[in-house]
Amino acid sequence: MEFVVKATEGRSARVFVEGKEVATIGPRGKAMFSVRSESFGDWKVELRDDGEIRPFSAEITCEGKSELALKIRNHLFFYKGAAYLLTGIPEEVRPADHVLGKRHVSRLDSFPFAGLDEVDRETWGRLRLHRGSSVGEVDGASPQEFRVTLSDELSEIGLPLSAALYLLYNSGQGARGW
Amino acid sequence: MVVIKPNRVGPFPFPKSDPEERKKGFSEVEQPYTKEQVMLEADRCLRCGTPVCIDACPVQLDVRGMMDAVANGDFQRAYHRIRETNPLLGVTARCCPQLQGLCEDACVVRWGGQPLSIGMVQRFVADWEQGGSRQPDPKSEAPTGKRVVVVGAGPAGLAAAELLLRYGHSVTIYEEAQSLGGTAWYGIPDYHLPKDVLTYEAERIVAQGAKVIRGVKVGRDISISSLLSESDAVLVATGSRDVKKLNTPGSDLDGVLDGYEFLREVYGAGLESYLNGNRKDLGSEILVVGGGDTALDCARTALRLTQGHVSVLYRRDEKEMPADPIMVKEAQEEGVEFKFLSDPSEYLGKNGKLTGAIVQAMRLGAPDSTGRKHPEPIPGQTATVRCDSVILAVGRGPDSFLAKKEGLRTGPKGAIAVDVRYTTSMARVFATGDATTGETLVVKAMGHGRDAAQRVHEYLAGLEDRHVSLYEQYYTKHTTEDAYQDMLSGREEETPPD
Repeated sequence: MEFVVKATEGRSARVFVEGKEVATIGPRGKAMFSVRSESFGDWKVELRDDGEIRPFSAEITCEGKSELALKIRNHLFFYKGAAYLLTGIPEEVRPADHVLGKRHVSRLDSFPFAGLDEVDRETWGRLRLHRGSSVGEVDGASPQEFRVTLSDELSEIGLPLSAALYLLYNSGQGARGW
Repeated sequence: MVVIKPNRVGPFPFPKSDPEERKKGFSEVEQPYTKEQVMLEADRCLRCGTPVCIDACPVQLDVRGMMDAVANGDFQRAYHRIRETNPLLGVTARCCPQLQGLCEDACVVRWGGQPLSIGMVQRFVADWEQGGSRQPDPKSEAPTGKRVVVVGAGPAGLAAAELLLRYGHSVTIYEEAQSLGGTAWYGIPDYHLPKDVLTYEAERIVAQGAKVIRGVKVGRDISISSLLSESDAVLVATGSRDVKKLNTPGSDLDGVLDGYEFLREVYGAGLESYLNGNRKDLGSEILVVGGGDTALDCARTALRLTQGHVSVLYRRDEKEMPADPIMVKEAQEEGVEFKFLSDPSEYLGKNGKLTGAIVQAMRLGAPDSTGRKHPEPIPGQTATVRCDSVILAVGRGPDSFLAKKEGLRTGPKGAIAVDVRYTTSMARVFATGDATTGETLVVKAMGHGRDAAQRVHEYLAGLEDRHVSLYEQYYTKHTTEDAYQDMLSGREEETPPD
């Protein structure tokens, strides 16, 4: 499924699937954003990890529920027992070819840890050596339009994950406009 | 709508000297931008509202502020914007692999073209300051009367010391070597990082008020308990040192060298000293074993010293190679040969002197305990090659000497075990950098060093329960909604020049 995130003002955005608007993204506090959708439900995305604002980290909650739906720490998350790496280099891509162009969401099939808290300090520093299989692509012809294509295994969290990808890896409106 | 300029000024990734010429000596490979070029390149920056480039920098270098100032020709403002969080500007500009998971990899211009050449712009600003436009140091807070000992003057130790000085603490650095910089001194060749750049920036940190005691190895010449008796806290930043040992038959032959010791011998006392002294005879046929940046550094150093034939043997394939692909290409341009899926199974010799190697062909099998595909030999597929020297650069772990000597609790591979507060098993002793993580990038070690220094400061100031990370401080200052609106309207607070 492809989600197209189009920035509107500041960090706010609208999300489209097959040309139809399905959701909005908007700020609701410090490092906190709402994702509202009739089709995919309402979500809260906080750019925090255990309460601390951290780069490339987010905690995603389905509105009305107390437990986390997804936690991203330093590009890495676990979902349904599998580890996934955002913007890593999947096996089928040569590192030399990865310096430009689209990025990937990789499923790390052989990742030797079962949860974020188990990952040791050395592994955090060498995450990019873990290659994995591409299960998603992130692309954008310009900063305004951000395309996230995810395979079926991530479809249940497709909208909030796409919103998190937009908030973590794209840039809001800048001092020079769009 | 702002128009995106998709291509960098000059060649991608950066201008380089001619490979046939540069391999004859140790002058810099990367060639700097001119003033006109750097202003044009900086003008490509979109001045993003939430700059992902800064998120991707372990020390939160203010890329956006730098680009805005440089595009307007204001190098003084650019310098102060980036010096705020990075005391080794010229060093990191040169040795960060910016396109590999760091600032340039994160630049949103990448979506539609070539990302900003952040390293080149940073380098210009650093060189501008070093080249005669000396700027004042960042301001420090009033003296606190607290004393901190930093063990190790590598990137983590220097970055930590600088931040602690800025907080007003008294800092004493103990360094085993005579030169400052740790691995950045001896482990990064001069063609990549001229040592006058490192010396200038390290000495600037010292000039901020640090006392440096050189030639003293903590754990051997003085104990941690002695250091604690003269200070309020000790921060250990002893880096990586423990070389991985291979049991390949023939490893004890004369001519089989450890890569780190080789680099230390060439660069440790200064390149000129080595070139004018007793140079090791490497011969003309050299094998380098390994797939990381150190293997490349060894290969390109050996090439420059011998003008011989240098081959890099790596047991995995090119896609699995951890070295920066930009550096791999540079080495190939210079004539270094790469042989992937190859691993020496035995070194051959005559009268104790290396004469050759049996090279085993490998293939990638099932993932091992690290999660990466394990290389395994292909039965019956070997080749015997002649060689005069073999340089082993297969990685190294944290320096475990001090932990063993002082009984600090350790984790995997001998790394000093620390909690989220960077505290060790010994009261008032903190640890950071490669000593706690294993070998990493200079800028990542600096980031760890600064984070640990923040924790030490909070401990000394009794603020442990009110911890605010350096990243959260940056985020709060620059990207919350109020700051965002200020930025959009041009009211963003600027770091004053002095």
